[in-house]
Amino acid sequence: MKLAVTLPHQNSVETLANAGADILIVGISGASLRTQTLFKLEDVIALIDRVKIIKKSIWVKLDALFYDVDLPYLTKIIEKLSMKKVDGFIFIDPAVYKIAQSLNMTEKLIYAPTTYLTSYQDESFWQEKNIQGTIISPVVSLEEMLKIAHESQGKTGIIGHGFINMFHSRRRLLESYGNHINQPLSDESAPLYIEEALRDEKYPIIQDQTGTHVFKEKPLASFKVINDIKNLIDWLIVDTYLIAPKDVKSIVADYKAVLMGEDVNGLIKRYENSHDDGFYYRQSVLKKGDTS
Amino acid sequence: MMKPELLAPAGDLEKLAVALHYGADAVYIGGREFSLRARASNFDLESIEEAVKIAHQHQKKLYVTTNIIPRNDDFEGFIDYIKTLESIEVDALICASPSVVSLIKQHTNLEVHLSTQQSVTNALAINFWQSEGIQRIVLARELTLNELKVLRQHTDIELEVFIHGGMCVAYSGRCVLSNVMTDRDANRGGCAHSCRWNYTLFKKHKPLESSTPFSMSSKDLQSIQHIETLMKIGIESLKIEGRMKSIHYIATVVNAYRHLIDAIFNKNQIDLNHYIKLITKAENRFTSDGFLGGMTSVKQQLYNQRNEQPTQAFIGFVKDYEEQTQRALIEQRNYFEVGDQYEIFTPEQTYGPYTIASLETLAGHQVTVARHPQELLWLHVSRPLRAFDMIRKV
Repeated sequence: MKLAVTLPHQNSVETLANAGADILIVGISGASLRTQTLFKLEDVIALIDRVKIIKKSIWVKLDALFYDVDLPYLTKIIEKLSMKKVDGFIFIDPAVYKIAQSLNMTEKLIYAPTTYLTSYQDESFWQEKNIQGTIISPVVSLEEMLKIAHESQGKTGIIGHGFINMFHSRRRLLESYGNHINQPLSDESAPLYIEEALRDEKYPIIQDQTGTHVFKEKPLASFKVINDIKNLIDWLIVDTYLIAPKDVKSIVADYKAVLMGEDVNGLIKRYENSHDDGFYYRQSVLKKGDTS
Repeated sequence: MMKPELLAPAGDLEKLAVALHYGADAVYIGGREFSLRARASNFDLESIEEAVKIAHQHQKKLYVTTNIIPRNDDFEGFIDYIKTLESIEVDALICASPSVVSLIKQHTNLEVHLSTQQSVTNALAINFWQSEGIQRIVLARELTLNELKVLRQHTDIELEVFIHGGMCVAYSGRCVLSNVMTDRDANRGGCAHSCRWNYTLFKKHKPLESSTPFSMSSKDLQSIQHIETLMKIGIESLKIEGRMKSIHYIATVVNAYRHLIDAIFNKNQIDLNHYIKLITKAENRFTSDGFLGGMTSVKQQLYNQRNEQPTQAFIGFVKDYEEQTQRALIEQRNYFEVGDQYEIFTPEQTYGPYTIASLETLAGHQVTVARHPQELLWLHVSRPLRAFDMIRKV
């Protein structure tokens, strides 16, 4: 299992690499969702060189949903970065696949659709497209995830650490609400939180150029399951969005330590209260045929 | 200008009959398995077969949704199911999962439409799905008219656009609020509509003081003003949402858009306010034009309004008509009484107002009130009526 980490800041490259990251994931302006820093294309090109020097891999997040007006820029990004030998492109939108296909480089693609990859049958569909791999949706249970990974004919990964996104709207919901109550709420640098009347959970809510995003209250941690999955899952992603920059290095180092054989029990305890298990031990109650 | 298909929802056979009666060109339904809106669906295979017969008798089309995003174990029985649907002669299946699409293509010759759950927003994504054998794309509801125009110019596949009804606030298929908050899987028919709930907004961990709670809820889509543009763009199918809606809602909304589409196609003089007024006779949440008019703002959002505005104007519909006695057999759907004024709502036109002069039970007893849900009563109406014509109080 390799550790892939979203780069919170350009100064973090060597630090995270030394902490144990095998792959650095960078966001790019106009093409990435929910990333701490969105780099300009020329900055990403410079980062590629830095990452290559320290013999690590670099993936670029192209995980936005694109509109026709975005396609020329998207094509330019993919063309330029593939020439610079980026190791992988994370995508959701099939437009990315089509562009990569036209450039004969689908083998760089990693399909990471957040909510759609919930069955080995759908995972298999994408593996047959000659891509590098898939990221299993974080909404499946551990049992479901293991089945998907086991059946996969290619490489699979998971978002193993970080704030899971629950909701993404094109609408600017904070701005609209602010207008309604006459209190300005434009793009804020720190997240706001929403709490539903009957639940004791505060969900981070962020509005940016791509719309409005709502996250689970606590970040996911995968220390409880890592020994179950490390021989089946190829990549564990540490998504650093909304995570305090001072904590990122130690998180990466902790996962690396476990992967190198260190005992995980102390880490499980350390992360227990401030993190949750995501959907590992949850099942949706509405399944096939259940019409309650 | 081509005339688009008007596509209406139906949660059961009665709603299907009403949708067709009031002018839908095609209807979409969900089976008890493999579809979203699981709670909306009363269609087992036997009733799907009946639905196909009814639609085809009217020279209309019927589509079946198989649009869940499946889990590993959700494919059991699927191949038999789709083969049966093919033998029943459904006209197309609406899907969201690519492996579901592949299975349909491998095992049947059925036409496949890609669900809005895949949130397709650009021409290259459309080309991708077209190469997978998809024959129609139900586009994301986040597209503006300008974006639709550009899309249409770059694709030759059939395009379908929502024109009326409830909207997901998030990109369809990409929301797990319901999964997190209620353990109900939004992508397999269990959505709890958590986006419509009220929330307290916290800034720097302090609650924002406001008498209006935060909500993500949106007004329903209503696009009367944009139908002509959609027709000029060349959208092949205009879709109404609402498999859980009442028969009166379906009749009212379908009929309003039917008349508007026909008027535009026939180049008649059009007063949009007339059609907007027609639609308000159905129970509705507040409506807006969604993203069709451009990027959304506070005008498209809904605060402190979780319930539909109910109407009790709809009082019954015609089950039968006796020419000889000039009596219509009415099934009661809301309270009414002798002396009430009413109008008759038919697919062609609305007639009235009239006054209820008398009411008679099946047993021949005169009554003055109709208070029991679904009770059958005879009403004297000199105008010949057909089954599913409706009666509304005025």
